[in-house]
Amino acid sequence: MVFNAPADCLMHIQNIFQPKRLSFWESLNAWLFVLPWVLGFILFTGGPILASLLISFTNWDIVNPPQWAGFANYEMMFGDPLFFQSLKVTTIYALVAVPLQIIVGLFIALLLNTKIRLIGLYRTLFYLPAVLPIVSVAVMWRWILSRDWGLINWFLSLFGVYGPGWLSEPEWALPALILMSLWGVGAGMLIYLAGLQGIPTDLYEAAKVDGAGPWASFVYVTLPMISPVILFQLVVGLIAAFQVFAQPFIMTEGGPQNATLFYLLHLFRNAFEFFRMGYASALSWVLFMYIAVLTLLIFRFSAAWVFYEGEIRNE
Amino acid sequence: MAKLSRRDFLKGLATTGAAVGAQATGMLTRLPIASAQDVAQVTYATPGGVVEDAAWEPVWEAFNEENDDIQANYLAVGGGYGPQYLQLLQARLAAGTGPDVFFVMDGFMVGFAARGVLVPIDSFVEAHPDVDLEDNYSGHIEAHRWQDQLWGLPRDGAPYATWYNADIYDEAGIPYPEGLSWEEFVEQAVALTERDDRGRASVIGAGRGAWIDWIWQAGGEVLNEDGTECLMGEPEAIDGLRFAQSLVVDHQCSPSASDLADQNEGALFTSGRMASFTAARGFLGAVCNTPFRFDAALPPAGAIRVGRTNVGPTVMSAETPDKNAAWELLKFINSSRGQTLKISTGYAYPSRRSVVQEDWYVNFNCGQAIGTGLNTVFNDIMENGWARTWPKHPQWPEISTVINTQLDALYSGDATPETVGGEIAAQVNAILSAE
Repeated sequence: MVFNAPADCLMHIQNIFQPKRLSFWESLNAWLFVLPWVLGFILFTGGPILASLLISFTNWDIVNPPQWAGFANYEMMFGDPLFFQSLKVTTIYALVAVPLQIIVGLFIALLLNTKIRLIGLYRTLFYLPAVLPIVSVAVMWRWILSRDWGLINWFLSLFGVYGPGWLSEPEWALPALILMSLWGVGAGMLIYLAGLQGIPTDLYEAAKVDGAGPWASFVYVTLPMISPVILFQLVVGLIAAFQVFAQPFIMTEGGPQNATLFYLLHLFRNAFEFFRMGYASALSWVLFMYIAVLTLLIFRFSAAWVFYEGEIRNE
Repeated sequence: MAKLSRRDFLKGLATTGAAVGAQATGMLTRLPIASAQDVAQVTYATPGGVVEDAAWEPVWEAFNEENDDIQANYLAVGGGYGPQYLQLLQARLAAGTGPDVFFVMDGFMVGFAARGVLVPIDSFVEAHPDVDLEDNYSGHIEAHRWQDQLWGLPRDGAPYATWYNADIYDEAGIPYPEGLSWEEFVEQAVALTERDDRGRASVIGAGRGAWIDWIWQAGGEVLNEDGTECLMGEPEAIDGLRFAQSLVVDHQCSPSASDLADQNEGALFTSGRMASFTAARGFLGAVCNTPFRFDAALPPAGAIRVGRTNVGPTVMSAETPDKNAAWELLKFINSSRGQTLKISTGYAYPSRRSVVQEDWYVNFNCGQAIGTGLNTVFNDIMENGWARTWPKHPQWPEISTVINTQLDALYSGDATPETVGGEIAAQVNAILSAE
């Protein structure tokens, strides 16, 4: 869909967004307001980021002065089978869990985007799991996933299926953690819900006049209109998926047989158990580059499927 | 409501900030500077927790009362007895705000020593014969010796013995376990185990035991004497691995990975689902509150009678400004008086014979304990030299991670003992050669 905005409308929009020149005192005030954040960013985020880059070129055991190592830490990764294992585990998790979270989150949001009694309560109930502390959630899921006494295997047993040892068998441990990741879809659901409620109803009415059924309305109206929200969820979900740590740390400790050795768990062990802060920093920078490349690819191809209502395209 | 102008808002913000800043500065200057001029401040760090904090309190009270010129401060770092404690501890050490004296898990002590974080204390021991090292079990002292230097003193020790649920044994009509052979141990454990047709256990005969106990008992070793080669691929070590695997896979009398995914061995035992397992004396804290009758006994033995003992290394930071004051604190923590105060609940096990022989400790009783095993067996193990400490190597945390990962395949039956032993040896040797 292409908008051909009239020239005067375009001028008006440009005037709105044209920054006015601020006076000295206005600038000072503005900087005073943002100064705590800027200082916080420099001291606690920007500084450590730069420091970690430098550390990645050193051998540093945390308590002694670092020694320059050049690219040795980066070269070391190629000989580290656990680096590849952790990268594989995390990538599989991200590739399966993120789309699943998007689909389930959107599905729940569609169900909750109706005007029925107690809808506020339902929305709260679906959002509630997202605010629970991860440690208590992990402990609870250990029980849900128990082979002998767990809720899931009890449910399967109703159909004569003996469920596996979800967390104790290498082939099932990662799927179990992916399944568990759906527990937090409430947060995404809320964002989809906001997106769905922002879709003008006249679009649905127009589609209905053109003979569109519910499925066609969903595919040709709903999906395009919330595609920026899906893009946002995809990028944020991908970054979060590559930073999964607490669940394997608490529930499986990377096992069984490294089946849930997530990248950050491998990084954490190298940093704080094996005293290899330089190698751990290098691992973190490789992860950063990996996520950055994937994010750029997503943005590169997003033009093909993301629709911005207010976007003005020059064709 | 009066409208607040931006100027007024900023003024208010600045005034509040100045007031808070002035207050904070005043508070900081009022902190221990006055006393610091006269009294040496020494800080001791440990993971801490509600129970542990309370246990240490009488120790600091006594130390500060007896030492006018030294003030001992207690620092509960948090993080529990695992890698998070190390993370928090190392962050403090790196920032130059580390404690003067601290606890470090025994598997990590050598790593700290190798990195120059610790002070060897041989010269302090020589200069202070009153430390009376002979009163400590030699095994607990030797755990602190590496490359012919002493790097700390034990605050307690933790030899492992068999804890058993007497009710389960009585119901099955099986005699209580006491220093069983491997064969007897398996026979008892199989007889006690109750699983349904899906393998779900209502009673598990025995815990898995520590893998290293089976290796040692079969005559095997993890590393050679100078720590340059892994011996887990040797026939003796593989015999130990085979026995460990048989308990879980062949006889199914010890917990499977699925059993342990729900509850660890301690929880299985205290919930009355496991007939016996090995643990330290400190387990009394949990077992005293159980409704069943229990006691501790000599653990099983293979070709060699041996099992592991943990220790609680107390070490001195190389960065501590007043090493003499730090030594005094370290010495007190290890002393009979320090350990008696710390272990006043009777749960932990002292590293000193004199404390173990005190009446209150010898006659300790709690809960449904049926005998005196819990007061005698740990001493028997230490006095007879049946306990060993974990291998000492700077890379031990990494080595143990490799071993534990490979053991997953052993206990699931996915790999043979030969494959697991060979794989462990190859991976550990790669770590050793890279070092």
